[in-house]
Amino acid sequence: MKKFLILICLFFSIVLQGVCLETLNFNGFIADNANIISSSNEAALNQILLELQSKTKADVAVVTLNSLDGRPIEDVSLEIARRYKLGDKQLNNGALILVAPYDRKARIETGYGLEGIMNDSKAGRILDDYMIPYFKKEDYETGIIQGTLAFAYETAEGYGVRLSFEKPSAPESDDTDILFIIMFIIILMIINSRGGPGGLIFFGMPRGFGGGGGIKFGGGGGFGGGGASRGW
Amino acid sequence: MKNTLILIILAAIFVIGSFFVGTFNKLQVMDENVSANWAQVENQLKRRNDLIPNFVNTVKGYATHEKEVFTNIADARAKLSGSINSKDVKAVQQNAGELNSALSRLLAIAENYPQLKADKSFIALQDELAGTENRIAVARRDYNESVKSINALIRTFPTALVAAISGVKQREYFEITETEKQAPKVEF
Repeated sequence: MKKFLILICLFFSIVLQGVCLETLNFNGFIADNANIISSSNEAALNQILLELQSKTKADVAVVTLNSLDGRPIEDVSLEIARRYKLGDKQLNNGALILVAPYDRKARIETGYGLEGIMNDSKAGRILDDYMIPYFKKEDYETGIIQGTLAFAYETAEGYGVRLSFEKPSAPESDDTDILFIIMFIIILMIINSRGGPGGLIFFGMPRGFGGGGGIKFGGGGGFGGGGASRGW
Repeated sequence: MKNTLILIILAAIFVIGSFFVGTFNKLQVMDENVSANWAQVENQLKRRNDLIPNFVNTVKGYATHEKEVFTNIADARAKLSGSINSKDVKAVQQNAGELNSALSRLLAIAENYPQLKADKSFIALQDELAGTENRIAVARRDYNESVKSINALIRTFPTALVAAISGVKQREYFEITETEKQAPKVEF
């Protein structure tokens, strides 16, 4: 029976591209299918992306996939971004950070409303400076955290608002990794102690934030293929 | 008895009339949608045309001897601008294909200049170009999808009647040429 289903699925994925895309279960802004991001870091990233959303209405989703099923990453990311309607309905300011570690491909997809702030070369630079150096060392988690922070920071900057963390520094030597992670933890503790909407995130799940509850994408979905892709 | 007949005729007219109006409106919306999608294709092609001079100039700084490629690109770009202004789908298709192959030759040349490939502004421009290529592909796909749905509707009965009366015509696909299918993409 299962084989039969797979066969049908295969058939349809050839006929109608995209039917068999991995199911995404979003926990907040993150759907970590490849199981890269630890739950505490996931909560921390959600916290930051929620802050960005509440200040700018921009949705930034982070997705990792086990496989692209041989499709170009540009197709897959566009499909996800449109299907989940990222971005505010009027502003269409959604973005998707997609990483397929086993295919060794990553992409930042930007919605129409973010193309001005986050043009393709900026997206490419974030991939080059913050993500690919880690991906090359197979440290996917740090790469995704760094890239997402840099993306959130630059987006907020484009909107002229400040988020409660400093811009991450691009890696130059191995020392910065540890330094960065320590910085990240300190920043999180500061956020926590301020008692934002999430409350304590490192030490037990806060109220109303457990499974990313309450976070919703804005219903935009206006994407036209902007962004940048990288392989490594 | 006569009254029932009149009622039946009235009901039939009402049903046919509301079908006509409904289909007419639907066709208009779809036709407008096709036009909007086509405008998006043109926008993205124009966007690429605007990027090309900068891109070519950056390559020129390193690859001084490749004059022929630069003139080919300049010619193809000018032709495409002309056909975009004339709103002719076939001509746009043809000229966009020529520009694509000229561009892919330029990109192949860039491969031979390691210093150029490491140039920050070249990387940035290459990202913009790749992003625009992808936008063109997306716009073309969206356009073709909308053409497909309106054409399918116009071909079928009884929509075909409404379309014939209201003058909504089948639209042309924006296809890719054989050479483009084989052309190398902007990759890193």
